[in-house]
Amino acid sequence: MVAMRNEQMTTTSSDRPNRRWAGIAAATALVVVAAMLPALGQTTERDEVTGVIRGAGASALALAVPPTEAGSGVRLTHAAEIGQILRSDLEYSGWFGLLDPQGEGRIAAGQLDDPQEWRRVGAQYLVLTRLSAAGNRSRLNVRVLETSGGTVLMDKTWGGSLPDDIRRLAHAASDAVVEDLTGRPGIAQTFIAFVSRRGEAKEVYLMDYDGARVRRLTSTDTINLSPAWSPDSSELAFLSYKGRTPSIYLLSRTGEVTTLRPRGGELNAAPDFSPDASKLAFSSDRDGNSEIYTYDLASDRETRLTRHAAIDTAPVWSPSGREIAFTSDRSGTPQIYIMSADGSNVRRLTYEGRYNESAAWSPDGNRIAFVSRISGRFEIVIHDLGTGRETVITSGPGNKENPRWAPDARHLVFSSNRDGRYAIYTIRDDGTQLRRLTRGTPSFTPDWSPISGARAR
Amino acid sequence: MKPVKPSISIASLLALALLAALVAAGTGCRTGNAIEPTSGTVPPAPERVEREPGLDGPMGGEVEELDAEGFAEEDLDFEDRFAEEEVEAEDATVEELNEQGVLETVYFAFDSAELSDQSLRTIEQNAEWLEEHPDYHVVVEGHTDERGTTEYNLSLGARRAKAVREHLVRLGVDGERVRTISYGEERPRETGSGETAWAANRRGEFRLVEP
Repeated sequence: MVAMRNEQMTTTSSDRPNRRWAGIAAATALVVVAAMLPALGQTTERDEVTGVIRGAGASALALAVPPTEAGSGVRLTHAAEIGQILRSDLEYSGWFGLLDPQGEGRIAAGQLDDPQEWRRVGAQYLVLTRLSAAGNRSRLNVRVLETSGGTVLMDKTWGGSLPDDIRRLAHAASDAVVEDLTGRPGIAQTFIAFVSRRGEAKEVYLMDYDGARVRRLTSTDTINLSPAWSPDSSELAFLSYKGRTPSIYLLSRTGEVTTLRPRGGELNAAPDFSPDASKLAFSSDRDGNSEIYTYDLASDRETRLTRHAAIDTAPVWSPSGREIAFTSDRSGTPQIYIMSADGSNVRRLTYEGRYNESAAWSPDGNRIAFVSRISGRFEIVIHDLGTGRETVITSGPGNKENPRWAPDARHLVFSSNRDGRYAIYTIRDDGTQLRRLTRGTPSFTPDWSPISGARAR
Repeated sequence: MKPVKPSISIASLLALALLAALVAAGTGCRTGNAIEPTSGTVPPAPERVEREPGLDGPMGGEVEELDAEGFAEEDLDFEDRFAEEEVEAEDATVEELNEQGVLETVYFAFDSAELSDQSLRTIEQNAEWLEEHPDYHVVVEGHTDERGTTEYNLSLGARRAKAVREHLVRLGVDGERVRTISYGEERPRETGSGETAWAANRRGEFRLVEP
């Protein structure tokens, strides 16, 4: 699944600095999903995580999530559905290996809430969930226990109305469990914006991070492209052909649309919010050919960053806001470059291959994902800024395009025609967990929402 | 709907041929008599067009008359057609002209905005048409094939459209009459993958618009 790109990268994955591969937890004879965990130097406030890695040697956290208990007045199907979504979320987070919900028949039905029993079959943590009715509302209680000793690490309750809030309750619970056990925020409450064909047009759509609850945001009957989230996910910047020239618009959560009036140019495209939300980077052809500019939302001022006869486009900010990666064909073919946010200090990042474009800076700042043409197909490649190593994380038929990072810096979303028509997919940064999110109508240019807005919602 | 451009050239050809026939016939063609319709047999027009007047030598009065007669008919016909054309040209909306493809599309190589010799010739023809029809403005649309990602292809489409625009202006078309728009890979002419579709989609299209 994962291919290395240059000579120095032929080392095995376990030799990679700062990272180690998790394998199957052979000792327990339980199938544990292979996952990559950050090791000592890199992580987290919580000792549990690093401790587990050191001790186990195989290392996704072994998690027991028995079926959700249904209190009186609660539909069993609702409880079952919540349990299922929660399991799927936790599994997809990539931090855990989930044990069979019934303990593979080795735990008596009445003892599925007993940490000792779960410890016996290899679980490190036990997640107990209970759905209860409270008038018109329902409550989901989630407790996380250590199987050794039975210490309760987390005990939280969420309220909502069923069935409408089933998914949101499960997602909220998953994110809480992830954060509690790893110290990292979960992504189950995030969204993916994208465009999808509608007749001759392409409209902007929104869906949950797992592809559920798709809803349309625009009805312009024209082409809309490249939605990009604001850092608090209260707005989407996107390109629309609604006016006389294709230009950038802002769409707010409340449905307001703001036109960013172009200061000339016949193409103003590829918007990307700065991490402090004060500016948009974008490309424009107003000075003769495609160059990169920033637009200051407060002062309404624009600044030109690049000056080159070549195409410069697709700018993306580093999470620090100090640098911008972009695509330029100044070497003769498109390649990824990095510059300081004021346009100075331009340097080329990619040298392998003749066609590298569409950069996406990881939220942890350490890596840049991009699209590379390899044997005639476009694949997603991750460039490690620390080591310079490049890893191809996709394979198989079709093109993979427009990668964007999830806010956990462990997953990516992209569009691909690998199954025929273009659809939205997500994948782990190690090339595992490929998931197709959309079916039917062709869909393109996804962007994964930040976490902050998801919480505010 | 009759294509404007072809009928103009057919009409011109006919006019030329008939004039030539006239010259060969020599005399009397402008008289009122000559254009009086008669009951005589009129040879089919193509024959006359093909005839080399000089080789036919002096013709008898009868032939002369027929020719003159023929001319008269053709002349009427020609006038009618011409009139029809004028009406059409006036009535044709820009959409109709665009559908007729009065301005030809140019094509590009992969990841290139370079104008081939063929493209340069096509742009010259289009420039001529625009010179002859100063009432229209034109939007040059830059398109790419499906390969590559959205943003880069938008810029590549823009670069193609601008290259075409620059050449039009170089040929004397007023820059105010030409704007560009890039559709990147969004508006393929041919769906599907493969070099045939890709080649058809890497293009610069000319869309006439009202000023």
